[in-house]
Amino acid sequence: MKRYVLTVLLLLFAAGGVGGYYVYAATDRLPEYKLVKVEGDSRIGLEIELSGLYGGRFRSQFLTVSTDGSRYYSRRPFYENTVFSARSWMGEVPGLRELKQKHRQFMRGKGIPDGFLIDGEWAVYAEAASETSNTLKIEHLHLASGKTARFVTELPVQEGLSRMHAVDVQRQGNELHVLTTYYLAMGDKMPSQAYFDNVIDLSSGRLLRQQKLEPSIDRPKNAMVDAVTADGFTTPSGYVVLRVRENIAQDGLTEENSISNAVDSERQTIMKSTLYGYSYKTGQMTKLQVPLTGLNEQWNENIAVADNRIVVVTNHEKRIIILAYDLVSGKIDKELIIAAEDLGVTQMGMTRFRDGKIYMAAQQSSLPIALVLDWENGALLYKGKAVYAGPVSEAEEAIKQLTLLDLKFRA
Amino acid sequence: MNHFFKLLHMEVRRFRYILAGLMGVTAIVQLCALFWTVSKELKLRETLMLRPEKTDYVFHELTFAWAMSSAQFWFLVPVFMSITVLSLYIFFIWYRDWVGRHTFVYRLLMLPTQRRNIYLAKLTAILIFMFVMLSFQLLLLIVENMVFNWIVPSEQGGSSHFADAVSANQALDMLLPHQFGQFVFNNGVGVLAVLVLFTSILLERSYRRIGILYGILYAAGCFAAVIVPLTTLGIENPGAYLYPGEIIAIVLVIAALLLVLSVWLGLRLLARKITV
Repeated sequence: MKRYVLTVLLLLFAAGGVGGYYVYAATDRLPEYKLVKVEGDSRIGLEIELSGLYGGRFRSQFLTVSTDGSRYYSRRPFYENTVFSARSWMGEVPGLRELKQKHRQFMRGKGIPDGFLIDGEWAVYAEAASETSNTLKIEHLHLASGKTARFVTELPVQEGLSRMHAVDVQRQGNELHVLTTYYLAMGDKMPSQAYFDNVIDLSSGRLLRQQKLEPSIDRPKNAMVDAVTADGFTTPSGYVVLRVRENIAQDGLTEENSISNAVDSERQTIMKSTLYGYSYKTGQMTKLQVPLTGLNEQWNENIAVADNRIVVVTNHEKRIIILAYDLVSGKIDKELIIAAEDLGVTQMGMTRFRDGKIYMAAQQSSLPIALVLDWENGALLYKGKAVYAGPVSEAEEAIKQLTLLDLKFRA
Repeated sequence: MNHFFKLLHMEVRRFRYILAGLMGVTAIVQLCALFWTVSKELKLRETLMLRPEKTDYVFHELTFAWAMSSAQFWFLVPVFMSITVLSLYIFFIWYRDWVGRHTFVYRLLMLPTQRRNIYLAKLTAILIFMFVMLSFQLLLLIVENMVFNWIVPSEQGGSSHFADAVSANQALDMLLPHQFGQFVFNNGVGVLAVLVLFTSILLERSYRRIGILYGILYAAGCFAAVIVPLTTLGIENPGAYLYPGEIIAIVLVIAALLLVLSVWLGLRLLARKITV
């Protein structure tokens, strides 16, 4: 045995060194935080989590904080980092997650969230057969019977089509409305963009009609158009809203200068935004009289469509303005201004919408706060704060290192 | 078992000077890099503090994790050098038995023991060298941490977690990831690569000239068998037919089959094809 001492020592050294390090790594814990209710319905707190960074280590650690505690990205088990990190968004989207659990086979190969509609009776998925084809692939599942059907729907040929994809799917009785956006090549120039409502027979997959959505644009060269669709895939809507954003010149600048400045600094961009509502039922498009701030609204204005209304939430550091517009009557039916101090916070952050509620990450001094408001009347439904789940003596320092600026829905 | 241990000990003894050399070079390069990085920073701070026009500099605390991150390149050099030497030794551990005037492999293959012990001893030796180098790096980090605390004035130094210091260096973060599961996976891939190369070497030793082609084809085939499903089945492609878990399962099954095939083929070649 004596002659093997070198091998034995090396074996022990190798096992001891690596083994010891992983025993140490298993005990190297990051601080635990928890979301606790301050007021409101504690059930709402179960649906949400705050996300951000813990700055107490050499590298900031990304984490989420919920009522169950905190989860650090760097400390996720290996299988979560590999198997579950790929296409993880599908498991995080309510509606799609449940559909995947119940109808795994139907959900295969379907990866574009905008192509889904789940309306309680049907689950429908539509996507372009390829980016440059004028063909839609549609598959639907009757939720009660589990029966599926697939169709390939040929759309009218568009000359110069460089890209097409589905941005919204809605159902009106037996008619399926698939809103598609087309990018059409314009020689050397930027491709032009167009939206089409493709009305398809749900039983046969036959194209019944196609209607182009044509908002009026003063400066087509400097305009961007995007579709604001119903929030979530499980919220059917009779409308889609097109938002036209046009660059307009600042004082003393030409439009071209204004655009080049915008490249240098987002803050120098002045956008004129106009909203157009399109009714799937009537095929009518109307210009909406919704006042928008005009400056950098992609950052501070959040627009959602639900129940034949659009809701615009304008974020300011110390207040939010909620504006509800009735798409049927064409009138603003609600305007609320909620100050940070009314909610007992010092700073208001990003907002999200779901199921008639506004979700917001906020700060009370440096304490991360989660707020949930009713968008009908601005009433506070839930307020929660992130607290340190360790010894009280360490709490102040631990909270100082925590920055939670976003609110997400729990998977 | 006794024969296996004798053969393993022989392999360890044959590599001991190279192993000691790698440890020595790693220690010297890393300690010099640490000393140079910290001295440079301390000198810079001293110069800035002496400037009459600016006296309100706020310096961050110097931590060992900072030093590991700042001396990134010079810490990487000996790590990659060790990886390269160990990778080349995967070939040399076999070929050194065939080279030289008195071909050692004749004696080795005629030993009154099963030939699989030779194969297993060489494989175990490579793994021991690999883990010894990792353990040595960890031990060296502890020493370097002590040196760091010794050379940095206490008013400028701060504490940092050992795990932070390891993850501050990209190579060490890959070799010693914080998650044990990741470590097992990384080393599992490494062991599979060693086994595939062993089989390729034995194919070459068994069939000589045409064996070179067999060996290259075998290694390339194994590489493709793992990589092609990962790249073509679209693990990150949202429109892919298979779910990510299914793709990972396919790749793991293929890897397990390749592992079994490589060991089986390697042992078979050693037992039946290689003759003296």
